[in-house]
Amino acid sequence: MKIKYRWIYFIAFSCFMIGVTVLTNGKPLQDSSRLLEKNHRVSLEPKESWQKEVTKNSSTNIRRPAVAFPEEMAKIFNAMKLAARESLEMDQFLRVIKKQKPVVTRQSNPYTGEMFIIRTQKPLIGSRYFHAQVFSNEEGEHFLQHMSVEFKKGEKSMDQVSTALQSTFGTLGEPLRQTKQFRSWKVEPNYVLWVKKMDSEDLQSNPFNAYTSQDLGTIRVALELQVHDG
Amino acid sequence: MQKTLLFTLLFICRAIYAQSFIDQVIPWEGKGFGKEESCSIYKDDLPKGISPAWIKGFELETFLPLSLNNQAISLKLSQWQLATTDDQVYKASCERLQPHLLIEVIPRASDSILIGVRVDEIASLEAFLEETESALLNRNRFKTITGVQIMDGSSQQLVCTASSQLNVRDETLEKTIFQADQFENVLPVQSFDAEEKQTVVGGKLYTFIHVQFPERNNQRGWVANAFISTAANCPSYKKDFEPLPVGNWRFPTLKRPTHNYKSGMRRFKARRGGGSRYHAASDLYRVLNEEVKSVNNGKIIRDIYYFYQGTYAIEVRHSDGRIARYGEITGRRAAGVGMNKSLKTGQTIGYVGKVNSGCCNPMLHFELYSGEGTGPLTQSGNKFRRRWDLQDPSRELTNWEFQTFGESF
Repeated sequence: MKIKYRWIYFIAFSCFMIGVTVLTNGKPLQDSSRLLEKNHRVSLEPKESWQKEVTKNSSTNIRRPAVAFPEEMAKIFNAMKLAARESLEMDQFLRVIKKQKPVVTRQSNPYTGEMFIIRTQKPLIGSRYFHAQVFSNEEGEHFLQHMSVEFKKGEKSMDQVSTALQSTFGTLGEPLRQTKQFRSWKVEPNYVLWVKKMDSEDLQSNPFNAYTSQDLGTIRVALELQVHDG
Repeated sequence: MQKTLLFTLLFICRAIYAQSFIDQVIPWEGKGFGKEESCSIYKDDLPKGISPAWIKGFELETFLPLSLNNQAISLKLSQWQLATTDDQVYKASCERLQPHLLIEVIPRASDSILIGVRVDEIASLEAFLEETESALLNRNRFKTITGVQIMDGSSQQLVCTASSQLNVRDETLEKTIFQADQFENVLPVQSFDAEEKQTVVGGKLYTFIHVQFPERNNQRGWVANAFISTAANCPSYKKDFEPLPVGNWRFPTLKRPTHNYKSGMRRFKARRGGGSRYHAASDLYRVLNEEVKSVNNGKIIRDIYYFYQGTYAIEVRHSDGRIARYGEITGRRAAGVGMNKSLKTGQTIGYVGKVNSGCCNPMLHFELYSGEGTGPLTQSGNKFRRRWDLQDPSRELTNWEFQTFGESF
């Protein structure tokens, strides 16, 4: 009889061990990628190991992934796509980024009108230094002049960002300019979208963002009204 | 009996396993925004004017503070006072926001608001914000778009203290490494992981943020967030300067351009985009990081902003009423340059920049407007994609070039 129930004792013991592991934050449960995937409806390839990377936030004890999830990138790029129009619905745009705690300042003068600078205090996971410049024309309509954001550096970051941009914008086509460090595309009606692996010149003297040499290679994405053809 | 026991064990096992995933995922997924916001107000921290009796029996152990002026509320509590202790206002708030409890506190000197709300009564942060926002807008008391307050003025971040210097601490927050000056420029550091610390100084809880000081060789340190502000939101910062009358004119670069700005793609009205656009400026090729000079006295009417592919622009209204856009300069802020600051002829306004696509030489992209128009300089409706009072600057540049260097293209 005892032999007959041994396997039940074995299962019970296994369950107990799993329970102990969970309660002690044990390593056997670290691989939560399957559920992350399910919860975030990750749709973009590739499913690399960086998706599983999780770091511990020292100040708030909140676990955050070190690199942007494709869905987070898609949210930002969707905001860019939404803004790349002749006329921008400011209200709608601010709603899209509202959870990132936007800080909006308005520079207004009688000579060149209004410019809104929008930055966020709580960037989407894996991104930072969101910055948008929106102008108002004489009819009171708003239009985007510049929007940019940065993503963490990595061997495949440039390609991942480019893939996500292609996926979001859909019709980017051939780049206007393409090097290992830089890619740009024309976006109608009059914008240029670019991705840059930041070099030492890019890190110098930015009046909005703080950098050190450790930021070399950070990926910067921007959408801007076109000035040059290149 | 055996089967029941077996299924029970398997069920428990599965539940424990599933729970393990939930514990892994939910903290940053946003389980209870109270946790995610990571700030709470406790009963003893409530500002003067809110009495526990006013709360009428609600537990005050967990509150989520929200701010519409982007300041860390917990740092400002001592400056706040209860604006309306009127029971009717309180009841009206409660009716609008039922079942949430709303406490409203208004500071003395600005359009800011603190909202405390019981975390355990809110089903969705988004729904709560929308509801609150709509209630506030209905009262028409705030200058808001979708609940986001807009501050007038420059977005330049600076040390905003009443008169004294500000202690800059090391990462332990225990040691002061230097003292920053009043109105000194700072650049808040945003890392890819949230970075914020709190400590009690002089009996008050302060949130500290990591900042960089561009005028101190980019030295970094930790400062109390309460004393860092945009110039727009800093009450003691002087916000307006009177321009000088018209003076002598000069060429906007330190030395003569290396290429003729009246030919090729550099010239005004050069074809761009296969003829769909015209070039709206004269491109003055020079050397990267060389000084750019103000062509006359004037006033900065648009502080430095992103212009194109890693370069920046500044807009100046010169004393004769004309407006110049100094484009494709670097982001380095020259001494004395800032929103609404006055400029003298020849004062350094910025530094020659270079677009990061590598398409072009380092240059100053110089646009000139008569000043008769209004609204933004960049507009649609013509091939220049610029405002109607755009001028060809070539003739003026030629004159200024001759006056400044004794020869011209």
